[in-house]
Amino acid sequence: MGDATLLRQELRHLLRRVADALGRAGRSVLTADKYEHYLKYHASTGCEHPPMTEAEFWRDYHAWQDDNPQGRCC
Amino acid sequence: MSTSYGPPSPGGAGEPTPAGPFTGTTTATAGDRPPAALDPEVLEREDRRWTPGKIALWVAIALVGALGWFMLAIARGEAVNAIWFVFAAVATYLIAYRFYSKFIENRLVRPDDTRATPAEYKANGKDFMPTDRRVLYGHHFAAIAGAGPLVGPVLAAQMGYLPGTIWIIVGVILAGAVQDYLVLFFSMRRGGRSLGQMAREDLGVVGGTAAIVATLAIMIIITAILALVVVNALGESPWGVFSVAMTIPIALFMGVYLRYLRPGKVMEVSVIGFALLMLAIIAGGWVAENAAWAEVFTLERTTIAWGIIIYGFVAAILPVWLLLAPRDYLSTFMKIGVIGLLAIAIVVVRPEVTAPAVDVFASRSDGPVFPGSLFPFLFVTIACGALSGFHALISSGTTPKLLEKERQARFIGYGGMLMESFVAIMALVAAVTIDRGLYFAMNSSAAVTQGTVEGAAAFVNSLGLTGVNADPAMLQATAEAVGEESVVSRTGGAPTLAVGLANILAQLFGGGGMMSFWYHFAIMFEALFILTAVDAGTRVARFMLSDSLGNVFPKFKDTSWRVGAWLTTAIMVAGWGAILYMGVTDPLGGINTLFPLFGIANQLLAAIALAVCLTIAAKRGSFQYLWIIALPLAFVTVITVYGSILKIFSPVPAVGYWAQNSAFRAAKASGAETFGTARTPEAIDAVIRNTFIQGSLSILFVVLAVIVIVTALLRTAQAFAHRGDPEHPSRHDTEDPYRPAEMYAPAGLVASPPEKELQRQWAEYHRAHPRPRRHSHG
Repeated sequence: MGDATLLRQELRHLLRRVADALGRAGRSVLTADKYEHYLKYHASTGCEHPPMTEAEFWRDYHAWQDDNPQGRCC
Repeated sequence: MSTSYGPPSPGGAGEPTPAGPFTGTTTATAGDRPPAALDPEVLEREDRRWTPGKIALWVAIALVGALGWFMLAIARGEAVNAIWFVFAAVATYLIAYRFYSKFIENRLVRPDDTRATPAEYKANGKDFMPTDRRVLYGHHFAAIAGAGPLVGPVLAAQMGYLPGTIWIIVGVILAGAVQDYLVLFFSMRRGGRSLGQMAREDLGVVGGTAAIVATLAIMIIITAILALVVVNALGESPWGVFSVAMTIPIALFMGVYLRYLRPGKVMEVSVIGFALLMLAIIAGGWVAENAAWAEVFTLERTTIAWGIIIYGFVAAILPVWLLLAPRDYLSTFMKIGVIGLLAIAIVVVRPEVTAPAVDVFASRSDGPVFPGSLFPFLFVTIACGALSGFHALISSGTTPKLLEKERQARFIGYGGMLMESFVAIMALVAAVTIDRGLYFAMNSSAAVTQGTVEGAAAFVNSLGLTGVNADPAMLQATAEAVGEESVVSRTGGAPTLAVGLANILAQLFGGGGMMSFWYHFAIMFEALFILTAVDAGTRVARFMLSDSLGNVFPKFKDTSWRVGAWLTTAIMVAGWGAILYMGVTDPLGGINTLFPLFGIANQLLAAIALAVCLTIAAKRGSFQYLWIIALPLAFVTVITVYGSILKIFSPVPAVGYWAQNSAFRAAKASGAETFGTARTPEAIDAVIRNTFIQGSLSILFVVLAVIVIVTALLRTAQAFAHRGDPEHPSRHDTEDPYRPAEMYAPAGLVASPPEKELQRQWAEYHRAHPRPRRHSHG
């Protein structure tokens, strides 16, 4: 009885970890985590002024993309 | 998935040129910082360490591969099962990746992990950004793989399954993946410069200019033919038109949602978008069932072509956030999801192959799907998946700016292309598991099938293929099962692939009742990629055009000049739009005459990319291993030049554009009202015009490519003549200067024990030195 509960807990824990890892992988591949990377980058430059907010970052990024199109292949 | 990067260097100006300990691949460090590279001796020991377990593993992989190839190529009698394709392909990829790409890395590429990559020394938080190698693999794959590897193998299935399978697998190992890997590496060494810029620097003005013009022309033809595939898939299909059209409002909604409602919630909006997409497919079924609505969405192919032309123009000038970015999320979401799903489905369902290993059309040049003999036309029909020049535009310019470490180029470049090849194999499996009679009825042009089930059945049966039978009732039943008016002459590959996918996926989920859903799901999936490629391609081409025009009229260099942007966009859209319209209205059937041109264009671009790589490798002094590049370059040059010569000079009208042109001109001169498949005087004029354009394009492409190849060979010969003198101008090295790396990350998918140990040292170092303060303008 106790063992079964423990096993179920373990299993649930494992499933959650797998789901989390998949979610993170999915976010990365979609480039959904671009802002987090920007924050890390911003911190590493040691720049004095505060980083852009999430909304500002995406506006800035899309404005930049307008002038720097990335190809998509056939 | 943590990105294990260290502090990006401020880049450029203040960085002293390293000397002493930094110049070799040593483990020397600045202060207490761990080394940025594994000790070469440790690396070599890892490579050479053959434990019994490792040997057993590789022997097992080799045996599985050999069994797969045996069942596909030699065993006869019983029907072949699709699972053998998976075994043969995956085992061969693994062996090629482990041994051949490693050989190329050690002998020709010689990466140096002590050297900072552009992502590190030019980091800007946008296009230059060190990116986790596993994530980058996903990005790179999503950028290179589109509808191309799904379409070519379907058309090539007319020759049987074996020629296509061999070319896809052997081609990728020796040619396609080599090209992607080398272009990626050489571009990375040059700060992520584009193929055109590399050509200009390493080949000089003439070769460079020819390369840029060829790239532009090839982009136009490729965009046009991809768009033609969509038009053919949507023609007279209210369900398809409705669901694909709905992707536009869905993407617009996603764009607005991301900008104004929930900025940055990309995963959330992608899930919502995907749900809406599924709803659009289901709603498409309701539209098709309702007579009034079906009428509204049943469009002529010419109307759809105009729709795509207008769409292409608008999409390319709209801001990225509104349409392109959100649709790209949907497209990536679908791409990774569906390809994974398909791989699982093939393994679980294990469909039986209906096509012969080698069909009679492999040794003839009058195949109904596309004309021409196996050599060279198989090799141009399957471009994407085996060797695709277009990838050079992603492998230079985009991906090299994201690599953390030089040694990762093998995993991303070579490994990424192997995955695309696997997609092509799956598309081939889908095409060779559907009924053979159905395959020919779907892929023969309406000019020969009359577009009716009776006409198609009569035509397919007249081909005299053993064991192949088409009967009108079966064709009608298939159309009904997939929820279409008709499946006859649905050329272009996409509908055939959709039927194949629907067959396989319906056996896994939903059964026969879900056939129509899966069919339209597959059509939507392909249309999504193609529309993304169309407007991204138009944007890229437009910038290339303004850049080139800017050399003559400086005003065009100003990217914020709206009139210039619209004008150049209009020129590019007019270019591919005209070819698209020509293909749609072509009395000879369109796709079967144009597709060889698509393949030739794509392969010529590959020849250009390989020629540039050859020159660069020669300048580096790697003469002993130049054959690694010379081999695929020679092959693709022979294929494309011979293919072009046939298209230009062949006296067989079905094969040669000019032979067709003069046959129709002679008919017109003799006052004929109808000729061949052209049933009106206007159709005769159309053929004369179309073959003239196609023939001229063939000449243009081959001339430009030959200029580039000859220039590259001359430069290579010059470099060879001065092989003893690395300081000679002909050996001039165009790499960015060496900068020491200040970060570390493993090279492959899984980190080896020494790599893990070094990663641990770096993690410790970063704990001890949190948030380095640097002076920079971030």
